[in-house]
Amino acid sequence: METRDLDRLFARARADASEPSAALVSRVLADADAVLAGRRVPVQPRRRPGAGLRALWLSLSAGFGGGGVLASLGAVAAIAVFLGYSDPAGLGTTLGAGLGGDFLITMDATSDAGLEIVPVAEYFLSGG
Amino acid sequence: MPRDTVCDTDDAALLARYGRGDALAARELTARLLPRVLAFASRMLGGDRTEAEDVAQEAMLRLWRAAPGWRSGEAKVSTWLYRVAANLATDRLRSRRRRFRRMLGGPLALDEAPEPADETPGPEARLIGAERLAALDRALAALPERQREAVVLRHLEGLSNPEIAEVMGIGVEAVESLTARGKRGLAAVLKDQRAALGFEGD
Repeated sequence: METRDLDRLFARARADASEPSAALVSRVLADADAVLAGRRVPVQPRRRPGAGLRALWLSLSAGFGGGGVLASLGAVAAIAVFLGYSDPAGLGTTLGAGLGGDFLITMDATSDAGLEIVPVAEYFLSGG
Repeated sequence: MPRDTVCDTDDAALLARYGRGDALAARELTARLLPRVLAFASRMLGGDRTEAEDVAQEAMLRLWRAAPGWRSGEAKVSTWLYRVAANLATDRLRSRRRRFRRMLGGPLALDEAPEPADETPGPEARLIGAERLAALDRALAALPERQREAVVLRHLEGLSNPEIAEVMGIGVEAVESLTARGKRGLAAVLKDQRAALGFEGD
């Protein structure tokens, strides 16, 4: 066989290339979809402004047992600061009465010392 | 003339789109590449269409899996796919030889691949064109694997010698040698069939 014949044979074979069957195309595309589905990475949510602060608040409130608890603690702290600065008269008497007179905290609201917290040694020594 | 030169940049772009999750890109890539890889596999496997379809599907599956890590500029998509298909086809040919050897119960030389049985009717009952193509398939199947691969890539798939060198992992000179020897081998196999194939008097 001559080279010319061979070249004609090649040309005919190139022209004769048959198309893949519909079944094969379906199988190949099903593979593509399956690979894509198995690899798909969840879309990351877009971050909104202030999202960091909100996340911090949620984290803190969760640690303290919820937003309500944290808000209550904040309110108590604010009252304590207010009492410390405002130094209201008769506060020691009120607290003493509330504890039945055996209170461990001496408070002299009228003196310059302001709020004074002193452990009472006698209380411990007497076994009370 | 290489027919994939223009499209290969687009192939890489489509593969990148698929790698980012675009299913439509897979459809376009399939339309472009599947006919070529199927035809190549079919020639490599001596015209066995069923096995060629399996090879083409497996090669495409490997392409889908490779998409996320594909680095453009490293290899052409079509070249990479031909290489995968060639390896898969070679594996099947070797497996076929082992089965044949077991069947015969004796040793078989590496390139003694059994020729596909010609189950079709005689030349009188067929169109000349179909007979010529069947003869080409038989002649290709009789070539050593590497020669067959080089001839099919060069003369049927239209790749350039440097592209074939990349597919086969050899130098360009080796490709030239393989294609030249392959063509001589084909001519020798088909020499006696020239009249039967209707080349005389053309």
